[in-house]
Amino acid sequence: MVRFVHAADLHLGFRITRFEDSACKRIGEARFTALQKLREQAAQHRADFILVAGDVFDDHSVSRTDVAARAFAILEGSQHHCPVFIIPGNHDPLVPGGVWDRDPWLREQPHLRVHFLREATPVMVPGLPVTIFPCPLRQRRAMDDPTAWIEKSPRESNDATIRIGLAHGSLNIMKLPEDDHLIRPDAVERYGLDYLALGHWHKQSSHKTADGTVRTAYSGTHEPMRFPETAGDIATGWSSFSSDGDAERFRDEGHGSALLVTIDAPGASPQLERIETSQLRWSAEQREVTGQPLGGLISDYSRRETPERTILRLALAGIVEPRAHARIDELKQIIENRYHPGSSIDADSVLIEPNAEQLGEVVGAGVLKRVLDKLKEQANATDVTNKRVADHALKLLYRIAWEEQPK
Amino acid sequence: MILEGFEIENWACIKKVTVANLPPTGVIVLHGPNRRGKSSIVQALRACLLDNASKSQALKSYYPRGTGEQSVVSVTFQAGGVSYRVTKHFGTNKSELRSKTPEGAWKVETTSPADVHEKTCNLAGGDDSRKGLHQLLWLTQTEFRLPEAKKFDTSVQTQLRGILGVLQTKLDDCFIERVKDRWHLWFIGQRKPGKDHEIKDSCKLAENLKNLGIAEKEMQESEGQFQEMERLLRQTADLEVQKADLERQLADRSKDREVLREEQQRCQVRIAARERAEKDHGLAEKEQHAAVEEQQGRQNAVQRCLDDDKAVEPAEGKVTLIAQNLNALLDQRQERRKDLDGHREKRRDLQDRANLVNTKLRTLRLVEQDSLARGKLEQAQWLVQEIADLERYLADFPIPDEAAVEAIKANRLRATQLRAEQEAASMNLALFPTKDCPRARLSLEGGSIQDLPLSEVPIRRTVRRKAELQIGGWGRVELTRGIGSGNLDEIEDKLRRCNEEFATALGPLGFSANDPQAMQLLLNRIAEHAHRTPTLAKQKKEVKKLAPQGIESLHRKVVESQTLLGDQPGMASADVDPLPADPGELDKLAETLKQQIGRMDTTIDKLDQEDRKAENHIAKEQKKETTAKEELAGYRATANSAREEVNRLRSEEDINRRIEDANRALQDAQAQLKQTELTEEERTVEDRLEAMEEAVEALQRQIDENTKKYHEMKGILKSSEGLHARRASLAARVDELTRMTARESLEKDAIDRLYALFEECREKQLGTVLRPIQDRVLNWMRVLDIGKYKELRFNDAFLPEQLLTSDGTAGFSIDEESTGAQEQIGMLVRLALGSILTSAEEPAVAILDDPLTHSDIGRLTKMRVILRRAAEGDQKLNPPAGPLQIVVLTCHPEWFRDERATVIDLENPEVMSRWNV
Repeated sequence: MVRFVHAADLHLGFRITRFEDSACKRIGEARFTALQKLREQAAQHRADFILVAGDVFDDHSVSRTDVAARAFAILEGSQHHCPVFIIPGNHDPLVPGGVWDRDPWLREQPHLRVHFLREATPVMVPGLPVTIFPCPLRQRRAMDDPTAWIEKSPRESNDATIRIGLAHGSLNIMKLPEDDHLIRPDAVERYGLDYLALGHWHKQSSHKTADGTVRTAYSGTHEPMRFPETAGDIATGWSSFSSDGDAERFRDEGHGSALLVTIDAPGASPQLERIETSQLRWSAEQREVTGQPLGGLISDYSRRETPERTILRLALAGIVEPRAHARIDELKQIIENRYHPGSSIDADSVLIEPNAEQLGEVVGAGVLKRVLDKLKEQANATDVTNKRVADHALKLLYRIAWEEQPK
Repeated sequence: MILEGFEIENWACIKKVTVANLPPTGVIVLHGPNRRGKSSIVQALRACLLDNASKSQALKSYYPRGTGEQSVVSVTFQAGGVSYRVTKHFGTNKSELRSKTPEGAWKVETTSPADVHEKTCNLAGGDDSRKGLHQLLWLTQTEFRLPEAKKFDTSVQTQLRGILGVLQTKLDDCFIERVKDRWHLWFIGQRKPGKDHEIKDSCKLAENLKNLGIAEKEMQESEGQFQEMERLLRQTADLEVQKADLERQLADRSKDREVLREEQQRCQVRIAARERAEKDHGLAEKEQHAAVEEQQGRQNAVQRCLDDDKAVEPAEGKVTLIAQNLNALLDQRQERRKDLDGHREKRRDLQDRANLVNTKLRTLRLVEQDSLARGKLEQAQWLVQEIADLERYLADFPIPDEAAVEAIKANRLRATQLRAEQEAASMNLALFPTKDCPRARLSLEGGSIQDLPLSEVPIRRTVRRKAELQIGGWGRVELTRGIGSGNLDEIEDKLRRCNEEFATALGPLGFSANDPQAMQLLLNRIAEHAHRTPTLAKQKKEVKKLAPQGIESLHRKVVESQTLLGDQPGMASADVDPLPADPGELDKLAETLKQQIGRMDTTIDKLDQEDRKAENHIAKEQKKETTAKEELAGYRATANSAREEVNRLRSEEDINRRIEDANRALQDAQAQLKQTELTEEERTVEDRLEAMEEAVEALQRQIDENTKKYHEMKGILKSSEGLHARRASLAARVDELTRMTARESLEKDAIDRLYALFEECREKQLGTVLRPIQDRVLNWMRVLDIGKYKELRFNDAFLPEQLLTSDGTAGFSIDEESTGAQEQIGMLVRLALGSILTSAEEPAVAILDDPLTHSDIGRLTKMRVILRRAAEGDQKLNPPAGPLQIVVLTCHPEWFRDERATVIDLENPEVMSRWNV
């Protein structure tokens, strides 16, 4: 029996631009913490080795000292740690002058524990009946199936090892760009593999063979990189190098994980167990505030667990009366102060609408009343820009008028 | 509040003024000349009703100077339908406020100065005559313009707002102030509708935009680097693939090359055998060819030998025939040349004789020429001598020019005249010696004494100064004076100078002035000059004619002719036929000889031509002979040569044997060739190996280049470290700045929108609220004929701000109107605003001190009507305009007086008396 951790898409030193600089740095830092956590999880679960299925680095031009060397140090670990087998992915393909050509990755293999697999050739795991079939990528995009070479190494009759494929690419099970390193869906059966550890897709997923056995899986990223898909299109600045850009398969779940895989013997069904590795949790939430007391909302967000490890993007929508609108600032303070840097609240969609009784009180019976009427007309305009300005002006009107009320 | 009357004592120049029973509304005209206290009345009313308590010390300047009298002002007024009378003794505590009871009695309300003042102020509408409604309606001479918005009493504005409707609430004020404050964070200057406002450089938005521009530029650069890296990445990947492919190809080719090399090794033995067979075959073929050629050569040589032997005999016959012809030709030539020599001898003789004749003729001509040249030379030499003599004479004996000659002549004439005058001025001494008288001796002018001759003829002398006569037994001596009367000394002096001039003139000419013939000699010389000068010219001309190139040329001609003569050959005395001496005969002879020579030359030429032709013929024959001989020799030689060759070559049998041997050897070689025939592979193995070697080398070169490029790219990619973080940082900054800019921009646009809407709404509201005021004022302006304005816009302080023309296209500030119009518009607005603050129940007093001084009489007439109408009020308006009590203080009562106005003459002593100050 062998047990190993399957991880991928570490994207260390990744490029994120959505937040202010200090927040970006902390988010980047979290990826290293999560990697350390992955290492520790592997030790806790007594994993025999770790497989990293590509994209250790977000790009070749990452800093050598801050990223490349640091990643090496964590992966290399200490003497009680298991070996790690790594292949280059499409973000860090094996190209001359790339990150793999720099110290410490440039050193002659093998290291003590880190095994960077440069060649598409079977590798025996020392001391274990395991053969790894690494499929390193040499290009950002290519139309070749990176696993195709394994066909030339079919299982021999006397081969009693567990055959594990390690690749980075898209399993060709849906409409995908042709140059996205497409991997045939029946690769496991065709090549006689016991397990195909894949990287490239950021969400964890597993795929069954014809006989219903799960032998192919994506581990997902070990640390989230963006708000989950439910949040809609909230860009963080990170981009894939795939020709269809920011596709759904590169969205994560807002938290990171890896897979703990156990295979008893060659041909046995692999047992997959999800292990949590993420340091941060990304959450994009939308809340309707119409008719809702803001106090409840404030209470909810102020009581949440580990807000300091949550990047929250809260979008409020609805209509509130001016007094309640003033409390949005209170909520904003909570989110900005307690949650992880980068958290924010978007209350642009919250409209302020005083009730009939308040209206006279807020705007009076003078010019402001007429201004309010005009702005309301403009806020219903079809011209988006005009409407946007009118909406904002309306809020400002309420806010200023509210602030100018005699106390 | 309206006035019912007033009484003022001891106020400024006023001793006392009493005005009573003023009508509650309408126009009241108080008139009087300048400096009669009209303005003082207004000051007194202001002080009493509004501005000052009786004990106020601020009014001292209004107390009449030097009188010591107390200022007392008493004003009767109506407020809230009740009549009051306030009396203030200024400078004291004495004050009193009374009210009129319904019964008509005056009831004291208070006498406390403070209470009096306070209550009066309350009834009159304020404690400051420059505020409240009074600010609008109580005008001094200088207040014809409207107050500034900021200085316009807010209480009045509030009152107006209360009547006209809500215009702008306090919240509105606060709101717009906040909006303005925020608007000014971004924009420069004041907001004006329809104008694009500039953004402040210092605002955060501008700063963000600037920083965004910089960050975007940096990001672009960074993205450019990144794209370059990506391109290199793709290239390196391609290169790797290429490299692998090339290396694979190289390996394949190297392998192929090894196979070929082995194949080549294997083929070497068969190739060598084949080469040997080919060589042997070649040699056999060569030998066979040589043998056949030898056989052919022998046959050819035998044939040539036979042919040449046949050709020798006819060639010999031909040579003999040609030799005979040639000999005949040579004989003919010898005869012809002998004849030619004879003719040439004769010609030489004729030529010699002709030469002699010509020599003699030339000698004769030279002798003649020499004689002529000598004659010319001698004549020229004589003429040259003559010319030299003449020139010498003219040089040695010069003459003065004509003017000088004339001067000398004039000098002599004058000398003659002076001598005559001298003579006339002298005494005449006449001596008449007797016959045997002793000799007497006479000395004149102190000169030597001389013996006088004895003569019967009287001796006469001229004595100028002294005559000494030594007489011994002498006869009579008579000394008489001449008839002239001139001054002898003067005449002598002139004569002396005249003679000196004469001597000076003659000196250079070589004449002595003392010589009595000097003048004659001079004249003679002049005559000689006149004769010799033309002669000299003539002779020079002749010399020129004889020797135009100088006498030397004549000399040379003589020498040349003599030389030529000397060079002439002497005539042989032994000539057979002597030549005639006559040149004519000689000429004829020469001509005859010339003709004979000509004829002889023709004959000789003819013979020469014939000789040249014959010579050519001979040469041709000789050539033919040579050719024939050469041909003969050739035949003989080739025959010999062919014979020798035949002798030298092998025999026919030997040659035939050689051919048979060679054929056999060739057959053997061909058999060997057939045996060693190479396959296609064996034949091409070398070429294939060579091509393979080249392909391997080319591949290796390509791999080397590829590797070099690969390493270069590798270096560049390695240097990209940190670019990712930099890109991320820059993109984050751009993202952040974009968000901030968008946010700030939205905020700015929203504030601008609020400001614009607020202004628009306020403007609209103002228009609605102030419409009655505007309509009334515009109506009055039309009456006064002030411009053709459609609209009068008011600001939120209820004061007019802008006039719009009838077509609504142009707006003007009130200040742009004339001073008179400004004053009139100001008055109209005041009356319009003031009237809506009054009511029929509570009219107000307007005090106009010397108003409309800048108006023409036409407008004043119209203004009189407007004042009356304003005073009447208009209840039909909405809001209604209340009546006014308009008190006009003026020095021009005619401007304001009409049948309805109350006119009070302040000059009337019953009304007003003054201090003489």
